[in-house]
Amino acid sequence: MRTKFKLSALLVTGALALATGPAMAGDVATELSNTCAGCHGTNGYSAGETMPSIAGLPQGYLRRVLMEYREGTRQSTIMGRIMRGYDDAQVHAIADWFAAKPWKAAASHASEAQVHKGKSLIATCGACHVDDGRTGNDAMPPLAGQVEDYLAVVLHASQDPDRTPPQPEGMRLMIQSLSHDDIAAIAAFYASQH
Amino acid sequence: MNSFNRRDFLKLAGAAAGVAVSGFPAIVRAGEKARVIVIGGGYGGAICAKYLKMADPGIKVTLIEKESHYVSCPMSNEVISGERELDSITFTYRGLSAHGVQIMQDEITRVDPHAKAVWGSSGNKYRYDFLVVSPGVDYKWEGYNGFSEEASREKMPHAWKAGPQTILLRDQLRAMPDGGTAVIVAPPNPFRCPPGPYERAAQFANYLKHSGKTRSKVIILDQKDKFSKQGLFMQGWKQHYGNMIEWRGASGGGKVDSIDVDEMTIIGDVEDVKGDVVNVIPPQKAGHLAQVAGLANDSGWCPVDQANFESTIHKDIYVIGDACIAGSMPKSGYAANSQGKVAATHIAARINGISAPEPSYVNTCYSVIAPGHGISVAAVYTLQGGKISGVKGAGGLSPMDASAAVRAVEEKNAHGWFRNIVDDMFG
Ligand SMILES: Cc1cc2nc3c(=O)[nH]c(=O)nc-3n(C[C@H](O)[C@H](O)[C@H](O)COP(=O)(O)OP(=O)(O)OC[C@H]3O[C@@H](n4cnc5c(N)ncnc54)[C@H](O)[C@@H]3O)c2cc1C
Ligand code: HEC
Ligand code: HEC
Repeated sequence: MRTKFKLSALLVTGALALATGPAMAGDVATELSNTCAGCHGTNGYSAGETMPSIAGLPQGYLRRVLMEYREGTRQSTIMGRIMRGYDDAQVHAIADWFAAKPWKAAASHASEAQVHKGKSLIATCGACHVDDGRTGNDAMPPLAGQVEDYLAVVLHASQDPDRTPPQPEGMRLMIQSLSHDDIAAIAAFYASQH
Repeated sequence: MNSFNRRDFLKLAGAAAGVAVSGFPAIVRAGEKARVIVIGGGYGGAICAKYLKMADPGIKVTLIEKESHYVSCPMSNEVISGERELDSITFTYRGLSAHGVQIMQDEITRVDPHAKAVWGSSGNKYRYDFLVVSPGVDYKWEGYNGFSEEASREKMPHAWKAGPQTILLRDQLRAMPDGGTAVIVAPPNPFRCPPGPYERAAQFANYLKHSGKTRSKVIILDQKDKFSKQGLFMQGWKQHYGNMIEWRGASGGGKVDSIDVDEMTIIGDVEDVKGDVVNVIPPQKAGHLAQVAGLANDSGWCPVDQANFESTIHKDIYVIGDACIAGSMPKSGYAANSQGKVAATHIAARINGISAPEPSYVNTCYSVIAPGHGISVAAVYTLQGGKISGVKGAGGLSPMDASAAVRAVEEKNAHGWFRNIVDDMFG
């Protein structure tokens, strides 16, 4: 725990700053989390394409996935390389900082037709992704309002039976047979929900 | 514009009336926080201005930029290949105004660190409590014998600052007949965007392939013996373009002896290379403003306290982005973004009399080799013994053996990154 002592000391400084000055200055969690914005958008609200919004994801989910990236047990193109730069205390500080923000739907440009088609394909998903994906929990993130192309990329990757960590068996079986167009429509549906 | 601020006025008024002015500034400034001036609205400066306001909306932040619009270098290689238009990489400063940043279009020509003021070519004077300088790079025109700024204007564009030069180079490539040779002279270290020349070669080839000019060649004459993401680039070049791209390292015939501009020829140690298109990327140094402000040392770059980017030459002046010496961080847009935030946090903490957090920095550079083929390099940095150093075990390159599906996702992520980083700056 190389930086643990320093980290908590600085968190105290941050708390003092809250009382005497602006909320942000002096806060180590902000310092760490600001570095993510170049890819995930200011404060973790993505402006789109394939980068996911991460602000407002459930705390337990964030802590878990960030650790899994670091440990190499969650497949990624780049997050593993990034997360190996942080120790446990830093990962928790970052996860908690993003978790404390409200979830906001990313801008969606999905067409009516796509959204309609997507809705017809997700009936069974609601067993777990309740309320059309609006509610997340520590086991699974909200899908409603997530960036469309990111959802499509994740669904394609999840069709690979070797994906780590494995998706719940129930979900994997459901998405196995989805076509490219089905995935696009499902992504459009969830992305358009607020 | 508003060069004549209240403080100037009161000082003048005091002087004219012959009364003591000491004590005035504090009164004038009651309820008003320090003034920070940021010069240069690019990857470093724009983000620093915005994050200063986010850290403490009470700080008065003025961004002074000489151009009315910002044209991004990242993704400009895709303009050259015709994958996108210049419009898609051109941004205004309206978003920053909405965050409360005052925007001034002016070119700063003089900095007085003792008077704590800067002057613009408009004649305006701007006072600061803290100054942030992010002017990007300038070129060592004398770096290659026979070459000159003049030569770069029409005949041998560098296109290392996006804008008209990007269009000039694109149009020259379009005019090149099939079977022609496009030459890229890649500069010595250190320079802006280490993977940039090699991504450019790929985007040249991308254009040539898709326009059917497949008998053409792209020759890179490098002033170095190795380059960023080399294995990944060479693999991707081969996969998409066969033998169209040829790289010659410095000791393998790449070294430039001199340049014959009229003959469109690079005179080399080993042999001469004549090009139909010749893209000469000159050796670089910190932007002109950093030089005139006396912020650079003999290396041509600006030494800073790497914990916070305050100049080690002039206090209360911060240098970020390509212009500064930042340990192991490369000169990239992502690095400039990360540095701008560290400096903003530090300045806001100083203004509020609290200690700044331990700095944390990240860099990532995506490169697009072909449609559907992206690669990346990433690093996380901390301050170690006063130097910005990569965290061991973190970062690194896209794997050499990644599947086509992963390369395709990385290409999409390159565009997703671009969308988000410009939104972080200008949104
Ligand atoms: C072809 C190419 C591709 C690239 N691709 C990538 C990439 O994919 N990813 C990446 O991370 N980086 C990339 N880069 C690097 C990136 O462009 C730079 O590292 C980045 O722009 C540095 O930011 P900066 O703030 O230091 O300078 P700049 O972004 O150049 O900003 C400097 C600003 O200061 C203004 N200015 C200068 N002097 C004055 C003055 N005296 N008064 C007022 N205003 C002034 C300029 O007009 C300019 O707007 C690329 C570069 C090139 C050339
Ligand atoms: C270079 C770009 C980049 C940077 C920097 C980056 N990310 Fe990511 N992030 C991605 C990509 C791309 C993905 C998708 C997984 C992958 O392929 O790596 C992702 C996925 C994620 C996810 C999973 C979202 C979900 O719904 O499951 C989280 C959480 C996350 N990142 C958090 C962070 C945090 C926190 C930081 C800063 C410490 C960060 N990222 C920095 C690009 C980046
Ligand atoms: C058995 C419960 C279950 C069912 C049924 C299910 N999911 Fe999931 N889903 C999960 C869990 C749990 C996760 C998070 C897994 C993880 O940690 O990666 C998840 C993750 C996802 C993600 C990734 C979100 C992100 O931000 O990374 C998507 C997209 C998704 N599910 C879509 C679907 C779709 C579409 C269906 C129906 C075809 C479906 N799921 C059915 C449980 C389920």
